[in-house]
Amino acid sequence: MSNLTVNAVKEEVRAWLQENWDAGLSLVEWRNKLADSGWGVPDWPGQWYGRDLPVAMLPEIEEEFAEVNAVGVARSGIRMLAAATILEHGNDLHKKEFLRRILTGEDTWCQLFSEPGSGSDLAGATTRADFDGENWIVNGQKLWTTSAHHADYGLLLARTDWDVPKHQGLTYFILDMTQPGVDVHQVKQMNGHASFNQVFITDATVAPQYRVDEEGAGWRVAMTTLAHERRNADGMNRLNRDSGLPGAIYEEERKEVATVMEPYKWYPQRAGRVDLVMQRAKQTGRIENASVRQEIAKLLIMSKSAEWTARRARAAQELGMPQGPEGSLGKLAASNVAKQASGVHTLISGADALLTGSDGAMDGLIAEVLVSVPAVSIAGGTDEIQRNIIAERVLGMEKEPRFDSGPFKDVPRNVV
Amino acid sequence: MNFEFSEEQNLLREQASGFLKDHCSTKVVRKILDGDESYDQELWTKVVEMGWTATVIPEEYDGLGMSYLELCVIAEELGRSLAPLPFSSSVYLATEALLVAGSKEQKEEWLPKLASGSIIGCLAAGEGKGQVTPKSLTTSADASSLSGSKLPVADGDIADFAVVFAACDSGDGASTYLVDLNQSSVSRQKLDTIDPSRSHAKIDFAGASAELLGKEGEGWALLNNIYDRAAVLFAWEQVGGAETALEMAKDYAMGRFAFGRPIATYQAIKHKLANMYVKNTLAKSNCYYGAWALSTNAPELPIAAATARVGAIQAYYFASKENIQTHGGMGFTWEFDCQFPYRRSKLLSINIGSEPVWQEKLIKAIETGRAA
Ligand SMILES: Cc1cc2nc3c(=O)[nH]c(=O)nc-3n(C[C@H](O)[C@H](O)[C@H](O)COP(=O)(O)OP(=O)(O)OC[C@H]3O[C@@H](n4cnc5c(N)ncnc54)[C@H](O)[C@@H]3O)c2cc1C
Ligand SMILES: Cc1cc2nc3c(=O)[nH]c(=O)nc-3n(C[C@H](O)[C@H](O)[C@H](O)COP(=O)(O)OP(=O)(O)OC[C@H]3O[C@@H](n4cnc5c(N)ncnc54)[C@H](O)[C@@H]3O)c2cc1C
Repeated sequence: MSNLTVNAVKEEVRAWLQENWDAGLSLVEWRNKLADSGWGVPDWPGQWYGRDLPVAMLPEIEEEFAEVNAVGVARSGIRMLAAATILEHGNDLHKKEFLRRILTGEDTWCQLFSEPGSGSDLAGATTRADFDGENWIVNGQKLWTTSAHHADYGLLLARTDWDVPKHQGLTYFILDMTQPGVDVHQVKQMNGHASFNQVFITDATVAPQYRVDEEGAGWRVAMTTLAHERRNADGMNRLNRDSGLPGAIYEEERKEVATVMEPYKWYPQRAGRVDLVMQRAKQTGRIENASVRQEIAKLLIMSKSAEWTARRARAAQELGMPQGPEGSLGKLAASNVAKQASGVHTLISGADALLTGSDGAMDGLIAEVLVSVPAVSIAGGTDEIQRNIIAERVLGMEKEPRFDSGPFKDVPRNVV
Repeated sequence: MNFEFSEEQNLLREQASGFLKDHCSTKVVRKILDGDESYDQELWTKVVEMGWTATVIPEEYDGLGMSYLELCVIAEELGRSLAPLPFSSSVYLATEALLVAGSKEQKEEWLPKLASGSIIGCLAAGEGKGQVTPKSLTTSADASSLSGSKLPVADGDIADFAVVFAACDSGDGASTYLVDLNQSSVSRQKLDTIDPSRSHAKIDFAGASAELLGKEGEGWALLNNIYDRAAVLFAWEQVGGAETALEMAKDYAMGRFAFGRPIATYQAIKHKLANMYVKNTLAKSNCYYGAWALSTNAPELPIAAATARVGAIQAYYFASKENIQTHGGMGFTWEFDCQFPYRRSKLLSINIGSEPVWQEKLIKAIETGRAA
């Protein structure tokens, strides 16, 4: 990516924004313009709302948006995992029907993978989909489904064949969450928020055209979704900040943040809020303490190396190198950073960190870090699973002996 | 910023790694560890012939005038092969000191010889007890004569000259001198250390003739600058060594059976190796950052050097100790090679300042608002 092309692209987007950016439009009107122009997701294919530009160009383009306070497409949350999966495995019908509305923010998505009986062992899913000659009929229970209570659609992994080995009997569907057979209940988390849900599915239907990829190919498709999740493609690390600007379109954006994005409001805290550490250490004077300094230094080094590793991965991606293990590595790095950060915040705040709400350090934000951090090592595949992946796929170490080969119906599993 | 080396740099790597595989097997390391020699002279001669000692020395001083990225590539491969050579002393420390602070005459005198490998340099800062500071320095110099004791000095027993730090009353409290070690007022004594594959010595100066390097009273700043630069190069060596430890562990785990199956199939072993891999990879990312800062003389160098150094110390120690653990009882024998990376990791974790020192440097740099 030469400076020449970067400058040319920046110039082009600047000119386009000058011509088109209009805070008087409605959010959806504006985002439709973005979709049509390709400037909303410039890294997507030209044929589908993008401009085939390298990912590394995105920050440069975002700079131009920020320059004129232009609103972007809706690009955080499970919707981006849905988009990535559909771009890779969906057919043209899926792309036509869903991608645009994902970008405009009109539709919200959730990921119906984990179940009470199978989380890490995703291929052990027992939610079933049976074809009745006309439609797929879905029955079962999903758990930990983030955003299901707002979602219009779900990425559903269900079993369609019980007589083949577990990985071969799964199929991937797009489930309409607004139908009567889908019953969603929020589940309260240890940090007091309730961003995930239980989803009871009883005779819900999926029309045949909403199957993604082949029957029995569900595992392969799910791997795409998970790879993007691990790569942090869910955009959670760039949660929409409140522009603070007056005007109808910003008002609409704020409303979006307050509603559909509400489940993610604690996500920065679960990552450990490394950004607050130096400032807090200086404010409290704890920066003077030798052992606190050492722990802060360790944290900053961990967090820097995670950042550089992510940038290296992105650079490799751009050079067209095959996607490696960076997702697993990045997840483990993030989980270590979060844990260390929680320790450091405790050291800095002392007893203050115990108090929640307005009595606590930074109005309870620090306490929220402490009770949110454990999620990072679980959500999106636990640390242990990431280590297995690295050992087996990267280092090429032999798999453990397993007890779940053969037809799935005979595999020992949880009774739920 | 680049996160990968260029095609030419990767070619250099292939060449270096092929060469070291042929000429620096662990047998060579073991020969130095077990024997009386301070370094492998045959290997040194070949390394010099390859031009590695001349890498970043400008062409006007008979060097190759390449960038620090090339030197990072070489450092990584030398670290990977655990080479028993005075390369780091002569190249990362002595050559750097001259490049950073040498006068034109000094450069003309010393750099061509360093490039051609006809002389070996070393750096003498520490005086044995604890972290050296300008206040703790007892070595002193007047006009042109220097007295005091330095230890441990890496390669001090075989080097031809030393870059020596001595107390002074002006400026930051230290000045730097070039001292010819082959003079009668210098005596040296080889020391036993935890890593006998890299030699160390105590050097006594009794009114040795010395020549000021850089300005009087700017020695401490110079030392810190040299350490920042060398930290990046050492970090590449350390990451190379850490990768060797992981390779060794992996090879052993795949071939060793316990309880009817390869130990590589046990998660306790898998996760150990996965953790090694994660630490190594993260540390390497910091090395790239450091390489970039070093090669562009970026103001971020102190921060980049500290992150590279601490990450590399941790990764190397972790990988080398877990490699021993993976080998079970065999790992604890003299016969097995597991001890080499472990010893080297310990040595390199303290040679130019240990973890807390660099952590403190990092915090200071961030506190005082130098670019983070
Ligand atoms: C905040 C949050 C949000 C989430 N959002 C979603 C969502 O939107 N959609 C969704 O589908 N899921 C979601 N999840 C679920 C998440 O993916 C699962 O919780 C996770 O994969 C672990 O599965 P489990 O809870 O069933 O634990 P289990 O699989 O029962 O694991 C229990 C313990 O055993 C360990 N373990 C299991 N198998 C192995 C093995 N082979 N080797 C070593 N150790 C093993 C695990 O590491 C863990 O420590 C979310 C979870 C959290 C915490
Ligand atoms: C200082 C010292 C003194 C000793 N003294 C004696 C003595 O007096 N008498 C005597 O009989 N022996 C003695 N031993 C031998 C010692 O008991 C063995 O070295 C030890 O039991 C490990 O066996 P191993 O070396 O064969 O390693 P292995 O069994 O080959 O193990 C290699 C690695 O694989 C791991 N591993 C193996 N199986 C599993 C598993 N199921 N799950 C997870 N990880 C696994 C191990 O923890 C180790 O990290 C001594 C060893 C040492 C180092």
